Amino acid sequence: MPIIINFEDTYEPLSFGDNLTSMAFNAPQKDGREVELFILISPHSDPLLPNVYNLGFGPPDGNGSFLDDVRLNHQSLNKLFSTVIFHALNFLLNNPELTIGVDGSDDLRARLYHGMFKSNRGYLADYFLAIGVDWYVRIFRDFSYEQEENGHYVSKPRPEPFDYVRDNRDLYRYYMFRLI
Amino acid sequence: MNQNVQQKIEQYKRLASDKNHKAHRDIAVRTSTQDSLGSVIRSKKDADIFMAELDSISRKSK
Repeated sequence: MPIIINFEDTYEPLSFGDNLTSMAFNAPQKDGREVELFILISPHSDPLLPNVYNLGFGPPDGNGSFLDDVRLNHQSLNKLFSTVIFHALNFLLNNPELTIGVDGSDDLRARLYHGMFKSNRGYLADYFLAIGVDWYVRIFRDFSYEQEENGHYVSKPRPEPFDYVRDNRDLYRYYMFRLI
Repeated sequence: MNQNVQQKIEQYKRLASDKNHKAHRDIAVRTSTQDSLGSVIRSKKDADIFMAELDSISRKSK
C-alpha cells in the first residue's frame, strides 16, 4: 500500500526541541495503544557536511534520541509519515539553507522513502526538491576500478533529481530533500 | 502552497515558540551516528563537489 502524505492530517505535537530539531507525538497503534514517538533532526556526523541534517524517528530512548530497531504496528502509516514530513518541512522553513538526508542502507527504510516520494510526487513537489544519491566507482584509463589498499572499491556519492521512473527494485543508496 | 497548509505552518510555528508549551528536557543537540553518506565522503574535496552538485540540482529545478 503506498503511503499518502497529507499535511492537513497529522498527529498533534506534544513537545518540541530547540529550533524544531525534535518533536514528540503520540501515534495510535492497531491494538488500541498509543506509543510516544520522537522525531529527531540532527546535524550529519561528518563535519565536512555542515548543511546536511539527518531525519529519523522512533520511540524515545530517554537520552534525547530514539530507538530505531523497534517494530510497531501503526494504525495509520499515512498520518505517521505526514506528521514526520510536515515537521521536516517546518524545520527546513526555519533553516532554508539546509538539506535533510535519510540513509537508505536499511532496505525497509529505503523502500518506504522511495515509495513515499513516488506516490506523492505532485503533492510534495509544492514543498520539496527530492534528490536520490547513488554511489559510483571511478574507472581508470586502463579500465581498472579505483580501489583502496585493502581492495575495496572507492565509492563516491553522485546526487541527481529523484527519478520517479525508478521502481522499488531500483532503490537509491541515500535520499535527500530540501525546500524548492 | 495550499492555504490550509500555510495556516497550519503558521500555527505550528506559534506552538513551537510558545514558552508555555511543553518543551523537551534541555538536551544538547547531538550529531547523528555515522551513516552511509559519511562513509563515501573522504575529503573536503569530496564534500565540496557533492554539495556543489546538490546546489546545481537545486538551481536547475527552479
